[in-house]
Amino acid sequence: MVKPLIFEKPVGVKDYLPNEVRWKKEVEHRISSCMERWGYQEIITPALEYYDTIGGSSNILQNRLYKLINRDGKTLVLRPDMTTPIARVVASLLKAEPLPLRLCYNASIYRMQEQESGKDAEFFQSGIELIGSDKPYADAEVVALAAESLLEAGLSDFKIAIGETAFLESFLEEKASAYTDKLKQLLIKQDYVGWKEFVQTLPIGDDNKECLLALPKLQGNREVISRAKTMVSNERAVNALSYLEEVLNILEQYDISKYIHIDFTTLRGHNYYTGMIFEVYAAPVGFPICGGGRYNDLISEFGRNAPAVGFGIWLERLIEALQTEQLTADTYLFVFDEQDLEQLKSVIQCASSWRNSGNKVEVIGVTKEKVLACIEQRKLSGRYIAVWDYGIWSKQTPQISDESQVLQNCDKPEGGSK
Amino acid sequence: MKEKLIVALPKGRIMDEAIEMLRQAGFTLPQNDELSRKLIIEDEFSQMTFILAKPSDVPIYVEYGAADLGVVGKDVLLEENRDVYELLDLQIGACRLSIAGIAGTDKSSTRIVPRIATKFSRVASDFFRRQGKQVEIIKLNGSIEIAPLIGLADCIVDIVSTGRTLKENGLVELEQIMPITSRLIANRMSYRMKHVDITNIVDKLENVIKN
Repeated sequence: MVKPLIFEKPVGVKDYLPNEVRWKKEVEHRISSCMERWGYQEIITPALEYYDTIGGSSNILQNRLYKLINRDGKTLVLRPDMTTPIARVVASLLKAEPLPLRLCYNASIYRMQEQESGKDAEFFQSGIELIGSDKPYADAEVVALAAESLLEAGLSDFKIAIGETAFLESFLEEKASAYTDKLKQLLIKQDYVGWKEFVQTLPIGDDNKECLLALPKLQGNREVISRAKTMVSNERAVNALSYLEEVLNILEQYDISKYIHIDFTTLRGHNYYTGMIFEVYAAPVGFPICGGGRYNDLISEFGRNAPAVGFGIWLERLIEALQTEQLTADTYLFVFDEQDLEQLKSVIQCASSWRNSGNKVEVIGVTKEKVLACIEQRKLSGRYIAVWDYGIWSKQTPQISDESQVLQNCDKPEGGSK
Repeated sequence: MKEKLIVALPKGRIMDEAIEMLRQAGFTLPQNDELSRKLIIEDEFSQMTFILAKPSDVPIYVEYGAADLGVVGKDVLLEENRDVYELLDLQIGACRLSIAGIAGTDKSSTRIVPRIATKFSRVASDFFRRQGKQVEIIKLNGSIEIAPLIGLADCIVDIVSTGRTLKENGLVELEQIMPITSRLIANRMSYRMKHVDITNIVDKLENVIKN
């Protein structure tokens, strides 16, 4: 047999140790309870999907899919996002459900990595999809909920870069219809130098060139929308801008305007977006911590006409952007003499009554002479509220677990007692 | 307190030109002899920190957000293929990426699949693939010119500025792949979070380039 690998793991995956898990679950809990307060219901879909289901939805991701072959020779993939699987469910199992539907998820996503670049191959995403509305209030709700979820998680400073896919497409169509693909590629690569060089070589009128060259600088607060309006004449582009203005008007009601940065060059890897699109950035993370947008045609590919809008938060990136809060001690430790049958019997009863009061109790049996050493050693860990030997724990009455013993802001059943 | 902007500059070929350009744009940087000893330079006046890094590391510092901005050659940028904004062609450090070989030979050598030695393995293999040519790329880390001289490779793909190094080693430039200049790059997060500051710097540098 081959000697098992111990330290090595495939590139891009990681282990989460108990402290990290506790913190991750806490952050996830804050986000999902926020989403649930807005009426979103959690959904779970399988990690494995048919390639034919997922494959078409993304240009960029093609070479980053984990592919497997099943017994029939069909290609399966590990899901590279949650939006497409949810679209599949909405068009099939949920097809009788009236719209709008509000769904949320906490799931692992898989994307193969080209090189080690701070991007994981398996990562956690929490997100929502609002399905069945093509009105600006839906776009605004999604952006506002993204902001509220992040604030709830403890993030204080961030920027939401908002773009408009329909505007960008019709703008490029109007100015340089034969070159839209290449132009879009340059924007996806964030290559403004290449953009400028390429535009200057195009056989198009000077007016059009000027508009194209001005696009990367069309960034800032909402007044850039009015400037963009003067640059286009086609109806689709103008309508897209008016729609975006309405979304921003509604967002003012949510009081999150200060986080918003309009940037018409915003494009995301997936090609299913059809309208408003956004990414959230926060220091010190070099990559977006949240991304989303409107996709009106994706679900109809699965046979149900349903415009939709949603977002996903990259949990690990968000956690990197958050100040790690001090996790409080939450467990009692009873140490007993393992050779003393009376103590063994008693510790089982005693621990049980503490646990029934909602406490976390761990018991450790050691030989009599090691009891003190064990207590001293375990006291060093930040996990324990108290570390007691038989003389103490046998005389204690159970504490009713209270808020101060669990994580801050963590929802607990009332009093924790049964 | 306003947060400082961190700019990664490449040590070596481009550094002097880059620093001269930054001075013209109004940033206060110490004299060159002082620079050669330092890795980190603070400019209190403009609230900026400059770090001096190996050129191929500049895109990495910027991609991870350890630096907000960076100055780096297009050659390195293409080779590293990092997820960063390419904001401005600084038009300094001008040179070209070329194929070179021993004078008097053809680049389609006696080998059926010619061997190409280069530091730029990604760029070189992309180039030959686009040309529909099968080649074997040999990645070297320096003194590329030796490879054809001792028979390790048939040709090299490398940066050529004056052509002197090639000439001294009996090599000739066979084909130009692309012209190269240095670029200003930005981290994705920084470009959003510090947009006003970064736009200011871009405007200042653009003015220097125009004049």
